This record gives sequence, C-alpha cells and structure tokens, in this order.
Amino acid sequence: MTTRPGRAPRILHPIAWWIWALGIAVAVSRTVNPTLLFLALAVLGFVVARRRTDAPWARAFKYYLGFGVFVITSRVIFHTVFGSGITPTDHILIHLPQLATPGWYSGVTIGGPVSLEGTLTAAALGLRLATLICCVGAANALANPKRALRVLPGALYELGMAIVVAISVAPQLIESVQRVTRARRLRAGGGRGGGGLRALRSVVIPVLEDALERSLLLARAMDSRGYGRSGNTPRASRRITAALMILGMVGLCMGIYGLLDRTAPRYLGFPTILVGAASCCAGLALGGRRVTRTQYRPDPWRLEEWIVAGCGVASAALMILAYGFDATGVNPSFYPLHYPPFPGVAAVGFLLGALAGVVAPPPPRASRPPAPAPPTSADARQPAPRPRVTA
Amino acid sequence: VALTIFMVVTGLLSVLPVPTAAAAVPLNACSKTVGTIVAVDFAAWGGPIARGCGVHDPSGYALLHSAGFTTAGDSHDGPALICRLGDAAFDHGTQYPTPAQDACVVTPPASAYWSFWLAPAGQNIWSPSDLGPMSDVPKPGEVEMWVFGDSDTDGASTSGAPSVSPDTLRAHNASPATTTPTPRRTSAGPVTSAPSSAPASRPAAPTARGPAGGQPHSSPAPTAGTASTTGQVLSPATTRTTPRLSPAATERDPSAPATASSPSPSIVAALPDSSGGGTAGSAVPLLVGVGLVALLGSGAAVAARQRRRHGE
Repeated sequence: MTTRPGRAPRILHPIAWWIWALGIAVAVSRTVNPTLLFLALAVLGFVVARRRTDAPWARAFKYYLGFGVFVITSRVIFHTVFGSGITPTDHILIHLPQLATPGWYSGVTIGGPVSLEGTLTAAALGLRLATLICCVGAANALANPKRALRVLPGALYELGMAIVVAISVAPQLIESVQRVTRARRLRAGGGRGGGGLRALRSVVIPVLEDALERSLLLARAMDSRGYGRSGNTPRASRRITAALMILGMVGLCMGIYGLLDRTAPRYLGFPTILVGAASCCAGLALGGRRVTRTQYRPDPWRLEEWIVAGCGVASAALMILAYGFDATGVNPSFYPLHYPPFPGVAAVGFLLGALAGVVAPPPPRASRPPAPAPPTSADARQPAPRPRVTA
Repeated sequence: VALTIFMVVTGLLSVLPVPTAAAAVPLNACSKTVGTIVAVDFAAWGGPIARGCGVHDPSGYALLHSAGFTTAGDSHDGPALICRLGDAAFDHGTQYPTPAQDACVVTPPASAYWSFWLAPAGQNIWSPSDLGPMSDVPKPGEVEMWVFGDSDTDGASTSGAPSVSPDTLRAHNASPATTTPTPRRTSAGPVTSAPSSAPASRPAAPTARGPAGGQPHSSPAPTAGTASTTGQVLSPATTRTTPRLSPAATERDPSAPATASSPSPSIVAALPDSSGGGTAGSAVPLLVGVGLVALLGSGAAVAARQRRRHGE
C-alpha cells in the first residue's frame, strides 16, 4: 500500500483497543476448552474484519492467524515425536517406532504409540497459545502503533529508543513483508515459481533488515524531537527515580514468587507486591514530573472508548467468574475422551467482546483515488522520508 | 474449521478400537522376585492402604492400572501427573481428592498432592521417585507407594514419607501363585469365577472375601488355610479384619480411629476397577458453540467482502 489512508477524526483511541485485546487475552489464558478458544478466535476475526483501518499494519491479522496455525502444528508434531506416554484406555492413532533411551534419560521418550487423547490435548494447548498470539495481532491490526506511543507514561521517556523499537517493530515487520512480496511479484521471475529456500532468503533478509531499519529510523526521529532526553533535571532526582524503579521491579518479582510459592513466608507475598507496585508508581510519577511535553491534537477518550475497553474487561471478568464456578468446564480434560462442555458464562464474556465490533465507530475508509495526503497530526512524530524497498 | 475438526474426531472415534478394560492382576501373582507391589495410602480420608500387584508393567502408571487403581490427571499436566487416585476397595472406588477438594485443573499444590515413593527389592527404606509414573519402569521385587499430603518438595528429607515400611507391603512368598487358572486378588470364593465383570461380582464380593480373610492382609498368625496357600504373609502390623468385609464401611468406620491413632494402618487388597469407563457426554454444548462460531465467522466474512467491494 503506497496510499496513506486519510485519517478521520474518529479513529478509536489505541489504548482502548489494547485494553480490549488484553482483556480477551486474559480470558483466553484461563481456558483450554477448544470450543471457547474457537469462539474467541471468531470474536477477534469479527471485530478486526469490521473495524480495522486500511493502514498497512491493519492487514496484520492474517499473518498472525498463519503464525497460529504454525504454532498448533509444531505443538502437535512435538507431541507426536516426544510422546508423553499413554494410558491404558487411550485410543491409539498410530504406533511409531520407539527409540530406546538409556536409563538416566528415561524422562524423555522418543516415538512410541500416539493417542488421540494426547494429540487433542496438544492441539488444544497449541490453540490456546495461537489464540493469545491472535489477541496481540488483533490489537496490532486495530490500534495505530504510532499513536499508541504518544500515550506512554512520561517516565518511560528514559527508555526512548528501546520502547519505540519494541512497540513498532511488529507492525513494521508486517508492512515490510507486504512491500517486499509486492516488489518480488512486480519483478519478473519472483512470482510463485521461485519457491522454497531461495524465496525464503530473498524475502526474509530484506524484510528483517527493512523492519528494523525503519523502527530505528522512527526512534531516531523521535529522539531528535526530544523523546528520551533527560533534559536539565538534577542528577539526584534522576538517581532517585532509577532506584525507585529498580526497587519496585524487584519487589514485584519477589512478590509474585511469594504469592505463587505457598511454602514461602507470608510477608513475601502480597505485602511485597504492594511495596513494589507503590515504588514503581512513585518512580513513574517522579520521572514523569520532570518531563514536560505537550501533545498536538490529543486522541479523545469518549463513550465508545469506555465501552470497547469495558467489553474486553468484561470478557476477562466473566471468564474468571466462570473459572471460579466451573473450573473443569472451562478447562476440560481429554481423559477420558468426551465432548467438551460449553460454559455459558465464559461464552457470554466472549460475545461481549464481540460487541466491540458493533459499538466502535467505523474506521474512515481510504477514498479512491488516493490523494497523497499532506502529513497530518499523526505523522508529526514519524519520519517523513520512507526508505524504498531495496529487495 | 471447528466443524471439520469435530467431524474428524467423531469419525476417528468410530473407527478406532475402543480399548477393553485391562484385566486386573491378582495380588498373589507377585512374589519376592516376580512382579511389583503398588500401594496407595488413603489415610488422608480415613481410609486404608490399598495394595495391588502388577507383573511386567511398562510404567508405574500402567502398574497402578493393572493393580486395579483408577487415576486422573489434571487439565494442565495431562494424565501423567496423578491428581486423583481411587480404588474399589475404598469408598466404592471414589477417586481422592474429590473434585470439591481439588478441581484438578492446575498442578496440585505442594502441600496436598500424591507423592510417589519407591523401595527397590531388598531395601526397607522409602526413597522419593526421580521419575514420573509414566517414565518409571517397575522392577521385580520393588514396592511402589503413593502417599497423599505434604511432602518436602526437595525430596531430600523423608518428611511425608509412607507411614509403613516397604517390607510391610512387600510380597513375601517365594514364588507367585500362578497355578490358579484365573488368579485374582480375591482368589478365594465364588468371586474368582467372574472377577473382571466387576459390576456383577461386586455385591457378592464382601461376603465372598470373608473366608479369604487371611489373604489380602494377613493376621500375625496366618491361621486361615487361604493365607498360607497364597503366601501373602504380611507383617503383624495389620490385625484388623472387620473393615475389609465391607470396603465402604472402612471409610467412616466408627472403629477406625483406633487404627488411625495407632501406628498400624489397615492394609487391604486393591479391587479391580468396576466403573466401566466414562461416557462421551452430550454433543449439544459443542454444537451450540460451533453454531456461535459459524455465526460470528459469517459476520466477519460479510464485513470482509464489503470492505473488498468498497476498496477495489
């Protein structure tokens, strides 16, 4: 896409989309019920199909779907090769030749019988990871990554370039894939004939190089506009901020460990998390105070934003509720083999997530013929010259 | 996609052979040098120690099932992680911990789980197993033991170790009783005729096991003829015979506290699984889910087509 889609005033706030997607991700991470996972995927697909823009990164979702298929396939293959043992009542699909392993290595079996139950379990676990990946993909497709950068807390300015690259490299990667494949198609001989390893090499390397280069370019451009500068803050204040942040992170890590390990002393759990969180907040506040910045035409946060974010939070909340009610319905075991249940509360949660596809305002469509739009507010932070594809 | 997978799975189910319930191995098939004894301690629920035997089992997991125990894994770790254990000899085969006590969705906590202990042949000391039940290979003369409760997670100390010594459970007969045509753990009485058709034989079991009193857990003086023939001479620790007459009565037996308080828990023979496997359940919830997915999917397809028409 060489066209720069015209940006209407009504593009949903990127943070609203991220909250929505992360809410669904939280819900997905609590379940291995394949019916619920397929429902979550359908919800993601529905919302993305209805509400994505025409921007290059907005076409990302299908790549994430493909990656999800790859995840499921590799999980099943790993299960088949490194079988985890079968139970006497398993339905056996195939008997692979089993490699004899020495006694000290008997924790790992290679080959052996492959059961339907085990394969289904592996596929369901792969499906959960794939759905989680697609949640991130949906957020990347729906939210403008460059606008999301604007609302980062001021204290993170310290991390400048790292943050910019981390947030923008995935969408840039998608964009690069599209541009490189289009360039290959335009060139003779690049089409579908030249597949295999050669094609991979001629796509992957330019794509990686292009994406990283453009992310760095963006970071440098933001740096030149004052992003990530410490400015004229006193040294002591900077040190206190850093100390608070480190203390907070250590506190959070120790607190999580203390919460998860029941044998740990009690004071290591919740109190440590509270101290860590408080310390982090103080650090962010202190760091943010000394950075003065202005925002040109900030994204509005209106009712629709509240509803979309609320839909995601509601999915997560209802899933946690359903987990409390009926943990085995949300996480059914395939041993013994039976039809998966369909927990209603969790399903309603995901359907609430689908509501976002109706409530959110429709994205502005790129009009045809595309006018080479003058740089608008959003482009103020991104580099004007875009490197051409060299592949 | 979901519909295709659903149909493939249903198709596979009808094609694949339904495994038959493995015939339980009788207790007297084990001897000092043949077979492996496996025992499960239900003391956490006021139950006895159930004891069974398996010969040439490929894994500790298979051994449990050959001996007649039923197991359940958790949703997170699969069947290889034993989350529940049950046996027909205790509370009609109810698996413990019950779903109310542990939903068995995630890995059980370190404070309440089934720990796996081994005592190789000739050793009277328990050591925690390095391997899971599906990786462990039972050796002849070995004793394997499952204890529920709080074990030291580093496995170095012996806290949470079984309350009885391995030799209490070990088979002491020199040779396995293989002469019996259909040897079962309830080797005496009419039960022997149809031990695997457990539902039918179950009502008869308590009375049938009356005469075989000395066999599964023998008294200090093995007076009964059955005990000496099967050779299951156990340590003098187990003197009670009453709970065994009715497996169900063992659980909340008013006389049980006497056993529980004393350091000598009752030891009973494991009985074959009589539950007959689970059912496939109803496909209706799945179909409802598939319908919803199809609905949303078609919504997405319509939106995508509109966008394409609008764009091109």
